[in-house]
This record gives sequence, C-alpha cells and structure tokens, in this order.
Amino acid sequence: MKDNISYIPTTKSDFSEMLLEIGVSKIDDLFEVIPQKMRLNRDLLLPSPLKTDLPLSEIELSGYMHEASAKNNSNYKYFLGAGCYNHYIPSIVDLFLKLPKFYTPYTPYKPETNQGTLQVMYEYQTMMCRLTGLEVSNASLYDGATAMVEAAKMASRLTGRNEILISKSIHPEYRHVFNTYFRYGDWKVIEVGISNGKTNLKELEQNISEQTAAVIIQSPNFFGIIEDMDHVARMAHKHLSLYISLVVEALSLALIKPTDFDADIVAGEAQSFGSHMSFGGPHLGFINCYSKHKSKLPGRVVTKTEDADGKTAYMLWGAAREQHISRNRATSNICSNHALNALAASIYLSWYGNKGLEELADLHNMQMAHYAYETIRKIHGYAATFTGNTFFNEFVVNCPHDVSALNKTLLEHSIVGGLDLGRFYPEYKNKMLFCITEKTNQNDIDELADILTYLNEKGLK
Amino acid sequence: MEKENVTLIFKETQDGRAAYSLPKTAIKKKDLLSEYKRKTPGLPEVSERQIAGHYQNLADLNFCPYSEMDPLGSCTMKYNPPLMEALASLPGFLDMHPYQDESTIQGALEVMYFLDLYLREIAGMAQFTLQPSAGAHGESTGIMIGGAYFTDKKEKRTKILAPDSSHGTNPASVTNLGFEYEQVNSNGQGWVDLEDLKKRMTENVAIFMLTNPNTYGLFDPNIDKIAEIIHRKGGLLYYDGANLNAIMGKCRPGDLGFDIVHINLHKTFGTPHAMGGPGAGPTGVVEKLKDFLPIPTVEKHGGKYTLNYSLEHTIGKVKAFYGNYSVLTKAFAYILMLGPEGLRRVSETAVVHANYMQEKLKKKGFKFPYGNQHCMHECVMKHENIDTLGHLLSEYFKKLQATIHFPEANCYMIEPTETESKESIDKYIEAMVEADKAIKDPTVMEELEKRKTFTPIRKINAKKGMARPCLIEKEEE
Repeated sequence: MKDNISYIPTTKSDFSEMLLEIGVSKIDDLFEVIPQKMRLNRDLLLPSPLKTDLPLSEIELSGYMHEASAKNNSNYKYFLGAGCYNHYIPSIVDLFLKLPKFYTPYTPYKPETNQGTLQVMYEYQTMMCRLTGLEVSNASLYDGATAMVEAAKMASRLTGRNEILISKSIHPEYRHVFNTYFRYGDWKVIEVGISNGKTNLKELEQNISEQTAAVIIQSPNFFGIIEDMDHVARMAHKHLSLYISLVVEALSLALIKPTDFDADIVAGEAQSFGSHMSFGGPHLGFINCYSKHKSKLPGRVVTKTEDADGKTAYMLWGAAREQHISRNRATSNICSNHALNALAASIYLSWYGNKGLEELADLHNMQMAHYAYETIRKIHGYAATFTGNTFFNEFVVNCPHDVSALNKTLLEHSIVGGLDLGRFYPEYKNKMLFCITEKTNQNDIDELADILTYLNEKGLK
Repeated sequence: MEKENVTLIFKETQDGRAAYSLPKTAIKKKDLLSEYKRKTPGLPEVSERQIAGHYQNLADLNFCPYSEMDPLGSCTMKYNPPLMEALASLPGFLDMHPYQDESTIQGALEVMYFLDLYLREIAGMAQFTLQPSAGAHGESTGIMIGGAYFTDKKEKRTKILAPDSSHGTNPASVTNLGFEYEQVNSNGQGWVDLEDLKKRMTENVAIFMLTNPNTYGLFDPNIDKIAEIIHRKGGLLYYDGANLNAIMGKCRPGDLGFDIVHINLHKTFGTPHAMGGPGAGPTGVVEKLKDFLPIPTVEKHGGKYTLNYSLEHTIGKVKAFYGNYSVLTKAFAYILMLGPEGLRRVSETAVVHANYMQEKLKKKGFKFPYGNQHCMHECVMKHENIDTLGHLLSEYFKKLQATIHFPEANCYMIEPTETESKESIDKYIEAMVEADKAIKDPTVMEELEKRKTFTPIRKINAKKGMARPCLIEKEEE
C-alpha cells in the first residue's frame, strides 16, 4: 500500500534532504513559532458521510459522490426560471471549459504568459457590448445580484449622489442582496411599487429627484414583462440621474437592446449564455457602460495594445481602479471574478452567432412561451393576469390550486412547475411564474396542459 | 518561440457560416416585438470547427500551472485534481435549479451540510455561510456581520483596522461598506507593531483584519497578545484565510482568538483558479455571531436536509441563491479525499517546501529581508531588478513569475505549495540563479537573449495600453 498522501509528491527521502538543507531535525520545528497553548495537538475531527472513515480512495469517493448526486433528481422537464434558466449548453462549451490551460491559470496579471485568457476576455467584452450597445464591459463579476450592487455604487460615484430607486419588479433575491449591502454607509434606497406586473411609473415619478443617483429597473422584469424602458430613461435623465437597465435573462438581449431605450449602464446576469444552472452558481455577473464612465467601473477590464516589437497584445487595463493597487480608494474590492463563465459565454455566443441567437430567443423562447401562455390560460380554472403587457420567456397565470401543492403533484409527473409567486410576494398568492426555454418544446407544453386539465378536474390529492 | 497572433474571432466571420443547431418547430410565429426591433448585434458567424480551432489556439498562448510550477505567493496555486471536476460535473449536481423542491435536492444539501461541518472544525468556528463567491466577497460578508453585531449591541464603531502589509482587498472591502480604514504598522520583523495597534485600537474600532501567517509568509507569534488587545476593547478579530494552507491541522484560527474567518476554497482546497474565478469564500463565525449569518443556512432534521431562512439577526443575503455550488462540491470532495491526516500533511509539506526554497536561495546569494526566521508556506525575497528577473524567467526559462512588488516594492513572494515535487522546485531555483546571473553580467545577458523565447509576445507596452485603452473591437461597417 502506498504511504504518501494524494496529490503530494514529496517522498520520505525528499523530506530528509530538505530538512537537512533547512537545518532542522523535524517538520514540527518549523511550527514552533505558534504559541504552545494555541497548537492543535490532535487530529482534526472530520466525520465521514458514509461508513468508511476519511480519507477515501478515488474509487470510494467517486462511488459516494455518484450516490449523492443521484439523490438530486435533475431528470425533469423544467417550467421554472425566476433568475436561473434551463438553457441547452452546446457540448463544445463544456469541453473547452475543462482545458487545463483555461481551467487552472490565475488572473492574468502578467500579460506575457496569459495572452490566451486576455484575448478571450477582450472578445467577451466586445460580444457583450455589441449585445447591449455600450462601449465598455468588465470581464465578469460574481452574479447579477452583486452586479446590481456594484452598478449602483458606480452610479453614485459618477453622480455624487447617494439615493437609489429600485423597482419591486426586480428579482426579490436581488433586492434582498441589495438591501443587505446598502445598510452599510450613507444610503437611501427607495423601492418603487408595481402596477399590473410592471414598475408603477407614477410612483417612480413621485420619488425621483435631484438626489437620485440611479434608477434600477429590471427588463424583462421578474414576471417576464418588458418594462416601459424609454419612459424610465426619460424620467431619470430629466433629473440627471442614471438609468441602470438590469438584465437577468440575458437571452432577451438578442431581441432587445437596452441602449435603444437610452440605458446608461446595463448590469446583470448572463448565466443564460452557457453556464449551467448548477444549483444557483457559479453564474456570470456583468456591467457594461459608456466609455466616459469607465474610470468608475468595477472589475477587471482588458485592453488591446502592443508588445515591445509592436505586435498586437492584450493586458489588464486601469489597475488604478482596483484593490491591489488602490487599496481603500478602489472602486470595488473585487479580486476573484467569474472568468471561466465569461469564457463559456464567448463560446456560446460564437456557436449561435447572430442568426442562431435570434432564432433561439424568438422562436424557441419568446414565441414558445406565448404558445404556452395561450394554452395554459385556456385551461378551465386558469386565468390570465397582468394582461396587456409584452413578455419574453416567462409569464404569470392565476392557478386554481395552492401553487406549492400543485408543484408537489407535478413532481410525480417528472415536471418542475413554475415558481410560486406567493413565496416572494404574499399579495400574489395562487399566481405561478412559468418559464419556457428551448428545452421545453410544444409537446412538453401540451403534455403539461393535459396534466393541469386532469388535475383541475380530479383535484389535487 | 515565434507564435502568430490568434485572429480575432470576429474577423473569421463569413456570411452563411453558423455552428448552431436547433430543432424544427411548427410554432406559428407572431409579431410580438416589432416596436423593439434591434440591429443585428455583430456576433461572430463561424463554423464549429473554427470555434474549436480558435479557442484551442488561444488556450495554447497561456502558460499552464499543469506544465509549470506556479509559485504565485499568496495565491496558493496548487494542483487541481481532475477527479474533483469530474465529480462536480455529474448531472445531479450541475443541472439542478436552486428553487427545486427540497425533496429533490437532498444530495446537494448533504454536500453543503458536511462542507460547513468540515470548515467549522478546520477553522475552529461555530458555523459557516457558503454564500460568498470569493475571498473579497467573504471579507464583505464578515464586515457586514461585524457591523450588524455592533448595531445590535447599540455600539457605534466606524473604523476597521488592517496591517500595512494586508491584501489590497482588506482596505477596499472596508471603505466600500462605508467604514473608515486605518492602517496598522508592521514592526521590523514583519509582525504587527503591538504598540501601534494598542494606540489605534479604540472603542470606535469594530474589527481588526489580519492574516496569519501574514503576507510576509511569517506566523505572527504575538497573536495571543493581538487578540487580547482587540478583545479588551470589545472589538472583533477577522481572519483573512488567504494563507490557511500553512496551518491546517496545526492550529485553528478560532483557537488563535479570531472571531470571523473567510476561507478561499480556490486556494487551500484545491479548486481551480480558472483564469480568475469562480472561486468561493465561505465565511465562518464564532458562537455569538451565528445568528447574523446570511440566509439560508443548511440544517439537518430527522434525516432530512433543509434550508433554514429564519435566523433572528441575519444580515440578509450576499448573493442570489446559495453560493458557487460547483466550487463547493469540489472542495468537499477534496477534503474527503485527504482526510484529517492528509490536510495536516498538506500544510506541513507546503511549509517544508517554502523553507527549503528560502534556505537554498539564501545560499545562492538571494536576499531575504525576513529570512532570519523560518517562513511558513511562502517566502519573500527582495531584488533590485525584480521586474527583469520575473520577465527573464518567463521569456527564456518558461517559468511562471511569482508575486512581485508585494507586500513591499521589489519583493518577490514565492509559494511553491505542497503539490510541487522537489525536482520542480530545484529547477525553478536553477532558473532564478541563471536569470540573476544575466542581470548582473551583460555578456551572460547577451547570450541569454540569443536563446529562443517561450512567451508568445515580448514585453508588453504597458504605457501605451494604459494611456490609449482599446477595450472592445469596433464593428466594421
């Protein structure tokens, strides 16, 4: 049996030679600096989740992890989105994410040895900006919720104001994160209410003022509805406030360009571009802005430049914004980001191209979602709600049942139903938020409709 | 080595090319978005074969920690086992929706539950949140927890301290959350200047942020006195876990007197750095701060795992959903694979390797300003021409450069980690010796410059890059 520890190549004779070189007789001599009473003089107590004690061999670990993953059932038809989207991921994306030359290197601080990473980021930035219509993109943030926080702080630095207006039609967990962060420091956060599934513009107008740094509106919003973006922009700009367009379902960018509606900053979540749902993370936060605002943009940004011979080369730009140079004066504390997810997005967007992305967004998401909406609202007991709006690939209907009870029953049919809106909005009890992607086709929708019809006739158990 | 630049993918576009594949559908198209009609976004139009070639060629431009030791001090670039990636990629982990019914995510919650238990034991904390996505994100979380704790106690504390040698994220986290940052001096030995700390530690200070071993790679032996100074004034002691790889199973931050700890899973627990992330920065706290953790936490009741959203004093949420789940899975698998003895041996070996490098380099004439002490898992060398040294190492010796100009100007911070072999450490030392000779002797340099180069570009024109940023490719009309 082998006596070395997995992943440690150092042999007994290596240790002896090295200790000799160091001039100590045993390893513990190197730890004598730790005060005696503070040393751990026992083994760590790490209970095994199975009957075998740790450490496990690769075979045992693999067996156990397969069992644990099998306890999660992912073999469903998903009609659930709500900020995490079940899109198909082309095989080429997953393959390239696993290349050691992408998977293992550090942040590209040294350009000469990281040209691959840097060009990937430069191309990613370009693709994102072409989608949003803006001029600068950072090379990723953690997720949409933290991107929203960073975008608001950026707007505050740009305007010198400390009041932020956010709509209640923004993802509830994003608002939760936002309100968590903005309790620290001198901030005023105003939540603007909802009217028929959209931001209440009257209420927005009443609250916006010369103190407002930014108005943040999600579109398509949490209910899948496209907001009146041009109205919001006009109101914000009247008070010299910035309009931050929050995009949580990035696929909508294939059809709707936020700068067509005068967004100043586009922030959000691009999980839809090639990142797995992965139980909620890691996903892909992003912020895009105009060039005139770039000095306040948080996160890594890559620039094209040259090397000493005049050959095209790439490097990180604007380190003066960042924590490792500016410390307490940095625009953000972000260091690690989600570069691998940005790589996934680049490959994903290259694979679809313009035509493919439009076909995907229009035909297989938006049109299919409207088909589902028309089908479900006609089922006896179900009813349309928030009508008169335009929605992308998510929509809300009133249900004849308690939504969570309905979802439990749907599970027996291997269906993950839509979100119970009552979970986040008590006033929207019995409303279900459905999501349709290219992974739910017409047959799946018809089958769901049949089951809903049947359950409505027979009642839930 | 002569290498062509890789053509930008946008320039490979040809009309009529496309890689995508979508099913046919009988759906009747309606005009739903006429008022929103956007201009075509200018994405690449390429074949799948071209995509494969493009990204393979880009990957080849990167130096890879799989082929070369990456002794990037403070970053713990250890070997990332493929096993962890394979396990985290199982469909039952990768394709789950965060809002699925609890009965269908028991395996995922089990992983989180046990990871929390393991991190508690390793760090000596009462409970962890797995939500933070990175070390800096953990710092923000820890500071918010500390802030909420003092607000709850109705104490107004506006300042947070950290040593002058701290990671840049520390002061950035502090000011970005509206606290005032104050720097504590280091003494001549690389430790915290206790007198300076005493002077600055007032009842207006909420937290002192410290990493131990510190950024000089030294364990600060006064940690008991430091903890006493902070606690006597009612403050909290924060552990920046960036350097945890030195002490696993040897001592625990909780036993050293720390109240809040973040751990970089992408450093100590072998999950990949992935060009900058995703990582994960779980944050742990002592008993009195447990109720302030973000929600939800994972609990086990009667054999069932559940998400608990009711914590009395919770600060709220720091990220949508539960954390970087697939990173958590990899770290969990890593701990199962190593076990208690393995984790201790990880730290012991990392420390032996760093000391071996320090001693050997000292004997070769390199200067270590703090080299009169044993270092922990990394060592700090000083060199007048550190930029050139780092550059020569990459360009002519195919070596990855260590951390430069940190924690002080002209420093070279080397962290070999436990997963490098003695042979690769020796080779790195040899390369350093040769590069140093070239710096000192123009004729050696001349010879060196005749050699083939390994980097795909020569030295970057950073001045031009900074002054004339070109941050996206303009669309050709």
